[in-house]
Formats: sequence, structure tokens, C-alpha cells
Amino acid sequence: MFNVRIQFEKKGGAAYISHLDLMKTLQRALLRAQLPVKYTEGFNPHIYLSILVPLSTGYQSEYDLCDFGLLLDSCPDDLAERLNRALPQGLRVTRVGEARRPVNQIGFCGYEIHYHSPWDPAIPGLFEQPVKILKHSKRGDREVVLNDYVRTLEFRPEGDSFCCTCQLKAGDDPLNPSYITDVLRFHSRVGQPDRPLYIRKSILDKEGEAFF
Amino acid sequence: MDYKLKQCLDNVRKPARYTGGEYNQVIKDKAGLECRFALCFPELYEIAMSHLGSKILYGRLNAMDKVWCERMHAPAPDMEREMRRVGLPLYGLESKDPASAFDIFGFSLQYELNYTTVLNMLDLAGVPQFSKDRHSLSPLVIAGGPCVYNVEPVVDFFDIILVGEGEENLPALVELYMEAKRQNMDKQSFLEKALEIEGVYVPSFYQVDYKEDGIIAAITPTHGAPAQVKKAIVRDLDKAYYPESFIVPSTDVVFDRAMVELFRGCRRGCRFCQAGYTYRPIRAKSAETLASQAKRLIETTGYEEVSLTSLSSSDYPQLESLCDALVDYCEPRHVNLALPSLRADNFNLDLMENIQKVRKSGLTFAPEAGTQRLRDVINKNLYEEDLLNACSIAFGAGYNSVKLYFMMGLPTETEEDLAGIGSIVRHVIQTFRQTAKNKARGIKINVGVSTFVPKAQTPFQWVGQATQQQVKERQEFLREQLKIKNVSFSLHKRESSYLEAVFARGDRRLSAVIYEAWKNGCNLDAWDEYFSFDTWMKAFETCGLDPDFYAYRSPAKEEILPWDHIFSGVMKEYLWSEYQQALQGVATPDCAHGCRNCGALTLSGGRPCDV
Repeated sequence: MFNVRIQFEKKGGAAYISHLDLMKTLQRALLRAQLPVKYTEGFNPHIYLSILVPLSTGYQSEYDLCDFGLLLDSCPDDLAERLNRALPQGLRVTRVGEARRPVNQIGFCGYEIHYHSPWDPAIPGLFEQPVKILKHSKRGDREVVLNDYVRTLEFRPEGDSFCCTCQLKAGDDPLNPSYITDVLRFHSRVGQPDRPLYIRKSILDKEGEAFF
Repeated sequence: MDYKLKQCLDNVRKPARYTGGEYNQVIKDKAGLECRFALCFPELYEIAMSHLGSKILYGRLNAMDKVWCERMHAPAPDMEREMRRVGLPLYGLESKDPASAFDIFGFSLQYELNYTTVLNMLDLAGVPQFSKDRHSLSPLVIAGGPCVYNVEPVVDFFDIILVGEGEENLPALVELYMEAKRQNMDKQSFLEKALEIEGVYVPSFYQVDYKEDGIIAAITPTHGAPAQVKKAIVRDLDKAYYPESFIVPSTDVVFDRAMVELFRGCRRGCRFCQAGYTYRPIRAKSAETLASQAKRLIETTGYEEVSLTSLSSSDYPQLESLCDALVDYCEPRHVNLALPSLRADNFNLDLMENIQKVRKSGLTFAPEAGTQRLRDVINKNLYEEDLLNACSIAFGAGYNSVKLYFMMGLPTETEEDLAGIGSIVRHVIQTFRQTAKNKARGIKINVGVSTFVPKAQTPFQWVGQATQQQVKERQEFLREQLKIKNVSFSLHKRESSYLEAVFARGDRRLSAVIYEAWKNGCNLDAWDEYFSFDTWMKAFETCGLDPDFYAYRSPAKEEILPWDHIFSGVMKEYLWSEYQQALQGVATPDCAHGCRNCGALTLSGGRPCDV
């Protein structure tokens, strides 16, 4: 058994594949690539596969991670190539390796957010003081300070508009980058109803170093 | 990605239905193309992507060098709102090019309640909806599918209807279209030239006159059109084109699996069943061909289920050897075999073991009627013992649920027949108690009762539908009959079945009603949540047409029926004699016991049916 970890991109229309559908899509790609994959035991066996930090539907990703098992001693050299031939448009494997570090070592994700509204030099100032937000989670809503979830945050003008680069907490108590947009909306800096373009750039460990 | 499209996708449910890009989609270089073909399915993505016929035609058309065939489906209302808000026209899922880039729009007509959606898609495409308002060769709007056996209610919207199987005549038509474009032919000359292709029906070439009572006086061909358009068929199904791959959706669809087609046609001759008559003659594929097509599809798609499809699949003569060959291939690959259309009278233990090797799926039987008398009327040729025997095999092997399908409102139906449905269900429960392997788990029976809709080109084309009042009373009666523990019961919406009946036997004056209903907001009528019966009734009133005339009337033998100029292969005289047999409660043996001379062999050049 070899535990594979792949890094992949999810771009264009593929960003709209939901988490559950993405699992199925990747499982089918493994079958099309004719790889000897590990199945779960039990009454209804299915391919064992895990997407490490699932994104919201519609977010573009230049950095996604997925683990699965191969019934082999090592990773085939042409694994990325074979998978890429079997993947739909917009999904592409960029790196292949062994799944060594456990998921609980993930600390942050890096994002780029491209807005469509005009740049205002006052925007960075909005985040200089602690910003209280109502954060949703499965366990209910609670008030938190957004800044506690932010490792880095930068705004810069981009054409007629602007862009945000940030590293936000991931893992047990993650922060969705949409909260940054909510703060801007609250201060009427960003028009409705157009949603900005979210792109995930990295998955980092608790020290802010590359996780994989 | 296009900014407008992104704005739409960010604001709708299940956006993956609108992105294209799925595995096995066909992308072509636009240079050198001579025809951009939009394969239009007037339903939502999850329905459209489940349709086998579209997969066959998609592959077949894209096998042509100068043709690029792309998919267009109906957007759900939230997506439609977004598209209209940002000004995004209907687009091809593959290229995302707007509808204006396409030459031909080919619609699949599967169901009468999809008709307004055709109009809505044309509107979103920016294409004039009436054929008479489209003057040039492009865009050409055509249609095919099972509804063509009486397509009159929508003929005003189409330039050409293809009657029958499209594997051969659709490519021929597209070939001719490209030739016409090269020669700068006008639309009229092209339509006349197209008559040379088998199964081509040009509705505007027929003049329909009516008597004062609304009955047809004459259907007169013009422009050299034939008196009757003969259905096109694939003569050798075993050698016919079949796709090596299917597009694999990246989101859930209704039938998300590989499919192979065992045979076309059906030897049973159930008198209510339009497919049973219009798919004749019976042509089967060989087990070897099917096994290799199934394996190829599993490889190219990564699907973990393959379905063996046809009408009444357990009638396939080589089913055992096919299942054996496939099980050996599928089992180690965790691929499930599905047989969605089984008859209770040739269901056996081996077959059942084969279909539940990998994953156990549900079991469905369709006795259709509650008494032997009524089953003889409809020619179902199924005995209650057969059903109970099939159930005991299944229960003995560990099944503890079964779905049973019936129809109500059948010709000659009485209260006794409806009570018979309840009695069959109770006998199935008894059978479970006697034969179940694990009685403690209890039985679960789903009973579905749909309302009979008389269809064109069947023996019951001369029968009026039960009135809405009758249907209402009988549904209430049935509800009482089926108040049985562990039985769940579902019914079809009355109003939908009524409207379906209006269009199933309607004439071409109804195009005005469909347009009026669409204009007032009707769309996606097959979905109960979008269906507005009142809007429909107002549209009939505005157009001065009485829907009861179409749904309830039993036409006389000598009457000209609106679809008499479309020839499915089965002769009208044969259908009439079957109707008379039905009224006397006499069953007709299935075609395996000798040819009944229905007429369909005229299509295959006399080659006998594969039974």
C-alpha cells in the first residue's frame, strides 16, 4: 500500500463542482486512469479518497490536496500524467508525493481575492482595528474578532479595481475568505450582487510554511 | 471565464450544470467547420444528461469532420433569471459560444409537457419561435424523438421533423445542409431537397383542413411531399454506430451510468404502449457486440454501473450469456449490473443473482392492471401467479422491498379492476410472509399508479381519456384500497395527465395555445412546482380551443386522425383490429409465437423480427 497525496488545480468551470461531486469526479478519474486503487471495506465498498481542505463551491483553486491509496509499493512515475489524461477540463494534477504529514498539522490557507469595485485607499484601514464578525459554523453562530484568524492581509489597486492577498486560519476553526468581503460590503466599499473572484494559492502548516 | 457567466454561476443552485467541461466532452477547432449543431434537450441538465439517444447522436454528429455538435439544455428558473439579468443568451456548453453562432438547433421531443420549454429555449437563444418567421437557411430548427408520432401540436415551430431513428438520417440531413450552405441555397429549396432523405417531415408542406365540428377534413401534401412520411430505421442494429464514450457529468444526474441497448422494439404488444408499436420491427444486438460496447464504456467513463436497457429487457434472447460475460468482467472492478426493465413472467433466480452481485438495487414490476380481465384488455399478458412467483424468488433471496406500477383510467375499467390493485398488493405481502428469508425486517411496497393517457399510433388512439372527475373519484377509491400497513402509494397529478392527453392526440391548431401559455409564463411543465394548470386553461380560452375535444373524444374509425400522414410502420387497420380485440377482452399472443403481420416488416425489407 502506498498513500498518495496529489496537489491539483481547480480552475474555470471546474471551480463550480461541489465538494461531494468533486470526490466522485476524482474517483472516476482514478478508475479511468486504470490505477490499482484502495477500496474501503464493508457492505458497500467505494474508493477511499479524501480532499484535505474542501473549498466553497465556486472558488478557484491553484492549490488543492487530495489523498488516496494505491495497492503498490511505490508511486508510479507517470501518475500525474495518467491522471491528467483522465481528468475533466479545469482539473489538473501539479505535484505527486507521499501522504506523510497528518491533516491536523494544517494551519492556514493563502488566498487572492479579486474585486470588481473601485479601489479606495481607505480600505486597508478598515482592518487596522479589531473587527468583530458573526462567524457561522456547524455548531452555531458566534461573535469573534476577525483579526485573530488572519496571518497576513494586504490590499493593492489592480486596474480599475483592487485585489486582496491574505493567509487565513484553516483546520479546526477555519475562516472563509468571504468574511473579508463581508467587512468591505458592510462599509459599502464593494457593490452588490457581484461576487469577487476567490483563488486559493496555498495550504500552509501552523508555522506558515508549505504543508506539502 | 466570461464575466457574465461567472456572475450567473455565483448566484444559482447547482452551478455545475451550466459549466460544461465534463470528461469526454468534444472540443473542436473552429477553423474548417461548416456546421455548428446545437443538440437541444428541453429539460434540465440532470434529465438531459440521462438520455441515451442524445449520447448516440452527439457522438455520431461529432464523428463528422466539418460538424461540431454541442449541448444546450434548459436552465432552471434561477439560472434563467440570472441569464436575462446580465444579458447572457443560451450558449453551447462546450464552447460557451452564444446561440447566434449555431446553424442548426435540433430538439429532442421526449414528452408532451416539454413543449413550452422548447419555446423558452428558442427565446433565450434569440431565435424566432415560429418557422414562418425564420426566412433564411440559418438558423434551422428541427426535432426528433418519440413525440414525433404525433408532433402536430408543435409543428408551427419546426422547419423539419425527423421521424424515426436518427443515427443515419440526421447525419444525412446535416450533410445536405452543408451542401446547401455551400451552394447558397434558399430555405425553401433546401426543404424540398430534404424530402429525399428517409423520415424527413416538413410540416409546412402539408395543408390541413377542418370540418365545422373541428374534425379534420383533409391533410393535403404540397411541394412534392409524400402522402405519408415513413419512419426511418436502422436496419442492422448490431453494426449501427454506438458511442465508445459518454460524457461523464461532474455533478449528479438522474441516470449516471454506462448504458448499452440490448434491442429496439418489443414483442409483447401491450396496447397502451406507444414505444411498443413505434419501435417495431424488433432488432437485437449480439451478446458479443454488447459485451464489448459495455466494457469499452466502463473503461472510458469510470462508471461503476452499467445498465442493460431496452423495453422489457428480460425478453432479450441471449440475456444469460451476456450477463455471464459481463459479471466476470464487472465483479472484480466493482461495477454493478442494472436491468431496469424486467417482466415478472421471465424473471429467475440466476438473473437476479447476476444483477445483485456487486450492489443490490431495487426491484420493480409493472402488472399495470388489477384484474386478469383488464390485463387481457390491455394485452399485458401477465398472470398474477407470475408476479407472485417472481416476488417469492426475490423475497427468498433476501429482498424485502418491491415497487409495483399500475395504471388507472384504462379503457373498460370498473371498480372491480381498481379493487384488484389492492388485492394484488395484499397477495404480495402474503407471499412475503410465506417466503421471506428474513421476515423480521418487514416488507416495504411502493405502489405507483399513473393515469392512462391514450397515445397516437397505438390501438387506444381511438379511446377518450377518463374525465378529470372520474379520475378524481377513482384516485380517492384507490387511496382507500391501498391504506395497507407498509405500503406507500403515489399518484400522478391529474391535471398533468389531462394536458398530456390533449397534446398526445392534438392537432396543429394547438401550436397557438402552446405559444400563448409560454407567453404567460408556462415553462418546465413536467415539474409540479412550475406547472400552472390555470395558465394553460386560460390559454385554451384565449385561442378559442376546447381541450376536452382532444382529451376525451373517441374518434370514429373512418375519421382522419391528425397524425395519419406519419407512418410508424404499423398499419392503421392492424391497430384498429387490436382495438376491437381489446374491447372484447381478447389478448394477442406475443410476437415470439408467430408474426402478427402488423406491417412493420415493410420497414426492414421483410427481414423478420429478432424474437
